[in-house]
Amino acid sequence: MTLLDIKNLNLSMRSFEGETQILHGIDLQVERGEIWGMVGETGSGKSLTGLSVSRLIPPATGRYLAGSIAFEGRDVLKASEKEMRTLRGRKIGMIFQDPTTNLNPVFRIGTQLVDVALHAGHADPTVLGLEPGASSRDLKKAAKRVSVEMLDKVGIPKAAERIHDYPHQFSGGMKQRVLIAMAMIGKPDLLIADEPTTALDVSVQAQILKLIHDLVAERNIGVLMITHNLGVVAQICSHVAVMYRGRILESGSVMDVLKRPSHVYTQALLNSIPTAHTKRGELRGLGGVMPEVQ
Amino acid sequence: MLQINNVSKIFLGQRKGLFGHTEGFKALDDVSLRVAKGKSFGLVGESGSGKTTLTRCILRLETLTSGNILYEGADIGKLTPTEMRRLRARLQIVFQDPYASLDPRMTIHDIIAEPLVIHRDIVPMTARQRTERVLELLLQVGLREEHLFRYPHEFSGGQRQRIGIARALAAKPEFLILDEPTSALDVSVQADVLNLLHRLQEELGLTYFFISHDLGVIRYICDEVAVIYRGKLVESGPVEDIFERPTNEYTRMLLDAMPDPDPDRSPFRQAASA
Amino acid sequence: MTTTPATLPKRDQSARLENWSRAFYRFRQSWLSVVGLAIVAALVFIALFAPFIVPHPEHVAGGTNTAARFIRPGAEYWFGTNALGQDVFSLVLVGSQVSLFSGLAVVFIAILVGGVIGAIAGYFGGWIDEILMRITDLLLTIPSLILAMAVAAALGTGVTNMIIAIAITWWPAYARLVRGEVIGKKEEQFITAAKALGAGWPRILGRHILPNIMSPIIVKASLDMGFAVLTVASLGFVGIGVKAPTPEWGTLLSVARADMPDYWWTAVFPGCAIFLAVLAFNLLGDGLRDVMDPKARR
Repeated sequence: MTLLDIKNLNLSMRSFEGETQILHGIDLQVERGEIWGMVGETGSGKSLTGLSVSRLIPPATGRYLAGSIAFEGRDVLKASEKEMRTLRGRKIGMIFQDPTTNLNPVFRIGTQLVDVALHAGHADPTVLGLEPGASSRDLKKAAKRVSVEMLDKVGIPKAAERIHDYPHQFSGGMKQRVLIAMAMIGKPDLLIADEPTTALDVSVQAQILKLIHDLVAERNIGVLMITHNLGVVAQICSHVAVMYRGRILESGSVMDVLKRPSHVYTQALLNSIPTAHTKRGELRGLGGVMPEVQ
Repeated sequence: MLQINNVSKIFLGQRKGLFGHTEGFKALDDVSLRVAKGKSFGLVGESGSGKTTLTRCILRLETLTSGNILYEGADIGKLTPTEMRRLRARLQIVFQDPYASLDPRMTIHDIIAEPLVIHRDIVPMTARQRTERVLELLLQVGLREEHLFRYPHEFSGGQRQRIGIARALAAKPEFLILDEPTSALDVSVQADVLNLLHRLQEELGLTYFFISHDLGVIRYICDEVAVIYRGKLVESGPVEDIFERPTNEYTRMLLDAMPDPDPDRSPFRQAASA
Repeated sequence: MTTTPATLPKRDQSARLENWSRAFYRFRQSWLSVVGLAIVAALVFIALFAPFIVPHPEHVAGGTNTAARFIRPGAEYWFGTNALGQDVFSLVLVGSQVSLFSGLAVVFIAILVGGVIGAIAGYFGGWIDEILMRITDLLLTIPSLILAMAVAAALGTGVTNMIIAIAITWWPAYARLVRGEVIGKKEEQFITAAKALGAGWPRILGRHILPNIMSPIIVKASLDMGFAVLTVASLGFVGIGVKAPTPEWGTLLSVARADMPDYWWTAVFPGCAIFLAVLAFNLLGDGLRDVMDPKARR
C-alpha cells in the first residue's frame, strides 16, 4: 500500500479579503524509503500541503474543496480528531524550520523527550520495546532509556548527561537534532520536514541532511521534505515535486527533474541559483517566464 | 579605499562586583583587510563568526577594542561627530531583512528621501527636487512611479530589498555595505537583485563590501573574498583562488558543504555509487 | 537631475484608505466595541452642544424653581427635578462637559509628561533612565485621591487644581509604558538603518520610534478615559473639584445622597451617566486594542 497518497487536493483559505483558493489539485504519492522534496518559492503552498497531511490547518480558516489524503489507505481528511492524535507523532513525525521556538524553554530537554516517548508508549508499548500491557513504571523507565538512545542516535555527544540540560544550552543545530529525535521517537512511518535546515549554517545543514538520509536508510520510512533550496533537494532527495502558486508543475525522480527539467519554471529556477561555478551575468531570474496570475 | 588594520572587539562579560567583569567574548580577533575602490569585497562566515560585528564597527555603531579602520586614509574612530555624519552620506548599508529594516509607518517616498533630508546640508535640495530624485531612484532599482506613496507592507520581499537599495543610493554614496542582502529572498528574486547590484556597480562605480554565508552568491558578485571563522580571518584573496584552490581546512569544508543543485554532486549519491 | 517629469504623481490615498477599512473590519468584528464607539460619539456630541439642547438652560446656570421640587420623572421633566426644583435631565447633560473635559485634560497631560519622560528614559538608558524611573516609581506610590485632596487643601478647590492633581499621579503609568515600548523598538533594524543613515536622536525618536508605538498609548488612553471620568466624579462626590453651581456628575450624586431613597431619580440618573461613560470608554478601548494589536485577542 502507498504510504502517503495525496489526490487532487484543493484547499481554500479565508481572510479579510474573502476566500482564496490556495491549492489547486495537488497529486503526490510517497512510498517507504523515498525522500520527496517539495520545492517552491514563497506562497507556492508547499508548507500548507505539509500541514494538511497532519491536518494542522485550523478548520476556521482552511476549507478543503476537493481531494483526499490517504495515509496507509486511511483518509486523513475524514478522520476524527482522536484518530488524528494517534497519527501525529506516532505515525507521522514533523520537524519545523525554527528549532528555537519549537522547544519549550522552561523544561529540560529530557523532560520534553520523555513526554513524547510516554505519549507514544501509552498508545503502543512496543514502540518502547515493551510487551503490550506493560506497567506504567516500566513505561516510564523505558521512555527514559529510549529518549537517551534517540538523543545519542541523532548525534548529541554525552546524551545521558545532556538530557538534563535546558534548550538554551544547546546550539541551533543541536536543537534541530533534538527535534528530529522527538519526531522519530514514536517510530513514525512518515516524516514531514518543513524547511528543517533553513535556519542553520551550511556546515550544520550538511550534518542534519546526513542524519535524515541515514534515518531513512535504516528505518525505511518515507520523508516529505519541504524546502525552497534546490541544492538541498539535489543532495538528499530521491524524488522532487516543483510547486508554483498552489500547483505541482512537474514531479518525478530527482535525476530526471533536475537534470532534464521539462517545465520552463524548473529551468528558470535552476538558472537562478548561484553555484560555485556560476560566472558573472549568467544568473537569470524568472524574468517573465511565468505568466502573472493574480 | 577601506582599510581595516588589526581590529579586535571584545564584548565585556556580565558585571561582577563593582569593577570586575566575567571573561569577555572576543567577537573579532586581529582582523585586517583592504577593500579596493570600485571592486566588490566579499566576507564569508557562518553565524557567530563576527561578520555583523565588523560591519557595525565600520559604521561606528560599535567601538573598537584595538586596531583602527581607515576610510580613504582617515581613521573612522577619530572623526568628530560632524565629520562622521558627512562620512555616513558616502558610506551606506543595505540590511539583510527587508521586512525589518524599513519603518512600517513611512511611505516609500519618505523612506527613500530620508537620507536626503538628513544630509540636506551636503545635498541641498528642495522638496520637489527630492521627490524627483526619489522617482529617479525608484526607476533605477526597477520599481515604478505608482509605488511612490505606498507603505512597505504592500511590497514583496524582493521589492522591499530594492527599496532598501534605493534608500542606500539616495545620497549618492561611493561605498555600499551589503549585509546578506539576499538571504531572506527567494532564489529567483535573489538572482534579479544580484543582477541589479551588478548593473548599479557598473553604472555608478560603486565599491561593495558584501557579507554573506552563501558561497555561491559571493562567487557571483565578488572580486576578492575573505573567510572569517570565530572572529579570525582564516583565508583571503581573489575569488578564483579561494574557490579553486582553498588552502584552509575550514574554507574547504564550507565549499564541500555547499549544496549544489546538480544531483551528481551530492555526497550521498557519490557514496552510494562508490 | 537629468529628467524632470512633467507632473509628479499625486499622493495615493488608496493605500491609506485600505488600511482604514481593514482596521474598521476588525473593529466591527466585536459589536460591543461598536456600541462603545457609538456611546462615546453621543457623549462627545452632548458635551459639545448640551447648553443649546437642554430644555431648561436656566437651571444649569443655577436658577431654582422651588415650586417644582421633587417632581417624578415624566413628560415635562424626563429625569424629574431635585430639591431645588432643577431639571435633572438638563443638569446631567451639561454635567458631561466637566467630566469629559477634565478626563480628556488629565489623559492628555499624562501622555505628554509621561511620554516625554518615558521616551527619554527608554532611549538613552543608563543613569538618565535610573533617575527618571525612580522618580516615576516614587509618584506611583501616591494614591491619586489623597493627592487631589492635599492639592485642594493647599491650592483651593477647582477644576484646574483637580486636573493637575490627578495628572501628577497618572503620568508615571504612561512613562513606564512608553519607556518599555521605546526600549523594544530601539533594537529594531529600521532604527539601526536610520542611525547608519546618519540620523540624530531627535529624528530617530520623533520620526521613527514614536509613530510606531502610538497604538498601545492610544489604547491605554481610551481605557484611562473611563477611569478619569470616574476619578473626577469621585472627587466631585467628596466635595473637591467643581464648585457649584456648575453641574458635575459626582457633585450631583453627592447632593442627591440626602434625598435617597424617596427621591431616587436625583441620584440614579447621574449615576447612570457615570456608569455609561466609563463602560463606553472601556468597550472602545478594548475594541481599539483588537484593531491595533490583533495578537492580544482571545
